[in-house]
Amino acid sequence: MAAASSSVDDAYDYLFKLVLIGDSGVGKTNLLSQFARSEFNLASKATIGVEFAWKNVTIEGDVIKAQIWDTAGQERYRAITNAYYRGAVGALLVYDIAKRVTFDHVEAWLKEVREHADSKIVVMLVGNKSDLSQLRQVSTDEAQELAKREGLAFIETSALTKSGVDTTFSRILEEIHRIVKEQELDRGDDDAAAVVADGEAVVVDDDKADAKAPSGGCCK
Amino acid sequence: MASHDAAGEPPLSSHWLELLRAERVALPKLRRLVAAGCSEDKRPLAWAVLLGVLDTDPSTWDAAVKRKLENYQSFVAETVTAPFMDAKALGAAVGTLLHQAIKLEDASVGKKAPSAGTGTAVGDADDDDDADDTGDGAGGDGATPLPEGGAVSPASPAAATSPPGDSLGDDPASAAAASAAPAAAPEDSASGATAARDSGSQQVPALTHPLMDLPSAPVAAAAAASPTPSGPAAPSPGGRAASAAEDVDILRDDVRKDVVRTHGSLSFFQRRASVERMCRLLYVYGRLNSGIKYVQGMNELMAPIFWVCCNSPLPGAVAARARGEEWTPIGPCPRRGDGESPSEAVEVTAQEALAFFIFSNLMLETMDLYTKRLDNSKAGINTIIVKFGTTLRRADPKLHAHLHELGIDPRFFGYRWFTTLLAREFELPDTLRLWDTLLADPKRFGQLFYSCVAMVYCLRKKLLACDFSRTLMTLQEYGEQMVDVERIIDTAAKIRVWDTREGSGVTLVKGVPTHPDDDAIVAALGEAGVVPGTGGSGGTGTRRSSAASTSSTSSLSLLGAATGRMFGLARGLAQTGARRLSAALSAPVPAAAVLAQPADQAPAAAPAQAASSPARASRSSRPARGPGTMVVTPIDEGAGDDDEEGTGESAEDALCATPSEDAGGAHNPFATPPPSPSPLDQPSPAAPPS
Repeated sequence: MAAASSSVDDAYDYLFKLVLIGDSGVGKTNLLSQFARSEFNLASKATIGVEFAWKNVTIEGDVIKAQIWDTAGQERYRAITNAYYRGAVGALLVYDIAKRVTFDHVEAWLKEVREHADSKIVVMLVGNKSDLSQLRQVSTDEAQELAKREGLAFIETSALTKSGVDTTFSRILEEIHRIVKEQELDRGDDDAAAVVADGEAVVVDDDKADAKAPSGGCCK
Repeated sequence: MASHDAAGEPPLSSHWLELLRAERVALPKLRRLVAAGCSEDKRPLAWAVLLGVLDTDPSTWDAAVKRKLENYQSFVAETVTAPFMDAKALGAAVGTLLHQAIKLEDASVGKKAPSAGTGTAVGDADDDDDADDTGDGAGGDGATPLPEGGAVSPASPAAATSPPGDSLGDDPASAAAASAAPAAAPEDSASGATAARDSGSQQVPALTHPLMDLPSAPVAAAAAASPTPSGPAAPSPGGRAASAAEDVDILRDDVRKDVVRTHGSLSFFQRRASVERMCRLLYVYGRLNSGIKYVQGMNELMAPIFWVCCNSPLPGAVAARARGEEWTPIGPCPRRGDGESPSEAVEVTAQEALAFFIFSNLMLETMDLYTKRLDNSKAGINTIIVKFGTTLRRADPKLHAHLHELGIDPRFFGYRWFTTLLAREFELPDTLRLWDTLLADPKRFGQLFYSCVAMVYCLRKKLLACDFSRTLMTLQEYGEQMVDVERIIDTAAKIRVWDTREGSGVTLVKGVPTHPDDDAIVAALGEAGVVPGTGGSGGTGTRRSSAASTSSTSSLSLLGAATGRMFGLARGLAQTGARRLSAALSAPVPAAAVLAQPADQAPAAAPAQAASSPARASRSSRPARGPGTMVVTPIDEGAGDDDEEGTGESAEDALCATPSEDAGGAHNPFATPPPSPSPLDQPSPAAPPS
């Protein structure tokens, strides 16, 4: 278990909650494990319910604790996973470039996000499995077009080779960070707080930031 | 499990001989034996009888299995029109191969490589079958870890001569591999080629990928032979309103997608024939149960059953052995040809048919958890998890409070625990062991309930020291915590016995007929040295029983029954006792550390346990404790340090707070009292003889 940098990850300036969504089998879990642990597991199993990971990254000197919820893709779990949109400031909507149908479902997923998440959630469209270019069924242009139409960021990744993975997460986190910073500058504007609803972006006091990691080897 | 070869079979114990020679298997005794840990060769018969797939009369088992084989064969004939690992699927397998090849090449990067098993992609599974087939079916006794990955030591040749019915030779792949190992490679390449051809115009280059070293000669022929009629065309956009035909394709696809990644580290599950059969089992089930179809997680339930059926003798064989009779293998014994080419169906075997019916009966008891519209009903997953939280709260208020403060909703980990009956949390041998206790429970799945509580409890010290993130990671990756499964079983039994003692005399028995087998599991666990004392009915445990604790703990035993009832909906029992349960559930929680049980109530168990678990202790993250001490965990003074992350975690708490809108009954069990429960506290009957 354990994200990278576990020794210091109790100290952070902001906490951003992200959700990973998309059809089952598109590689959400491996995207996450690549990002959080630099691991790719071929034998990765289907996510049942929701799985969780986190990682700290630094953006412009601020330590961001990215708390990422990896959801099951199957329809049956939709009712359960809806719950996890709450408080999310970012969503990675993943499809498989080698499987057309997963792209065809992107709009349905978007609808889902817009129904359940905050209206200002930052959504990024992620075409995963770019290493399978020979089996590609969704062209980059087509996805780009959809992203543009829907106002989403877009990127192609390979959780296998890790190509694009770090970029994906850093881009979405940077975007959220930028918005949060703007809001901080704009403080007082009623609208501003919306993106950071419910306090999901947390400014930790200095002394808290120095809090020690729990003792006793609680994490590996 | 030792070799099934008659000569190599370990002798049946006197208990089993007595059990199997009787006209009818004595269920309480069977439960006792199974709960204490069933050896692998008995599991198919034990699970089948416990789940009501087979009658208690051993002499009927062969006939019953034959009938089931016929039934299942006709189901297959009606629903399965083409192999699952058809062209398209193999296209995916080719992708996997590519992945794998790249991965292997990348290994030097020093990333944590998955176990060797990942080297066995579906497509190439046959290659190592010859080493493995004779090996892992016979691969040691219950205590031996399963062979992982392709790296299985070649096994005794004796296994290859085992009777067909006993499934060692059953795997067609073994025959293929043994007799025609070279054929495997062409087959794979053929599949790959077919895949490429089938899945469209742009895929061909996949075959020429430098990392793929597949011979191409036989490709065309095999490709031509491959029917691939229902390689699921991608459903039309917005495929949610799919036609019936599309539904079927989706079902095929969903099943296959998960089967190929079920127990990816075990070569048995990666073999072509195993994949085909697992797919078929789940697909046929989905076709016959259109209300559920296939839900992710069912693959995890199927896997232990399928493994057990395929790697142990059929029930009739064991019964015959107990009686010293000859046994004639049942059904087709697809030793040759099975799965040799992509166009050839993998034959239906008695083992597969038995697995189907065991699975079906298990699903009868758990399907409510898989049914979305029941999520918030009294039998649904949310309710179950609420009750889990309640039980934990009663059993360990401090830990419960800690989790609640962190904002850990038990649903974050509980969905998987409950829907898969813990099959995802442990290595397969541990899962099988745990399932013995779950299935032997006459009040299914009370034991599951207690096992889950015990799992959390076994990590309490660590959890009490963790923040939100680590706590959640810990619970979600329970298998990595190296908690000995025997310790979980012990702990679950103790918590349950404690309940039973404190509760049974007070409420449960009064007015509610208890099943005669109710105490069997407790007795069994007592016999196994797992729990203190025997019978559970004698102990009064009145030492500490204040009025408050009496009322609340009595609810616990009811809860156990209730859970069994909830899981076993279709039992059609009278529904009495609802008021009592609901009253009990709303009773105040005893302030005391309720788990703390005076040591003198459990004197007998200490030595027994000590004797039975030294080997395990070393595997445990914490040393095994005696029953007296286990419960009296000196609650750490350092508990006050819990909130290292202070406001940060509080914010996380807020973030992850249970959404109110998602479920009528889906309160955070840590946060609120459970909704008024419904009449559920009737004990389930014992597994009904079919």
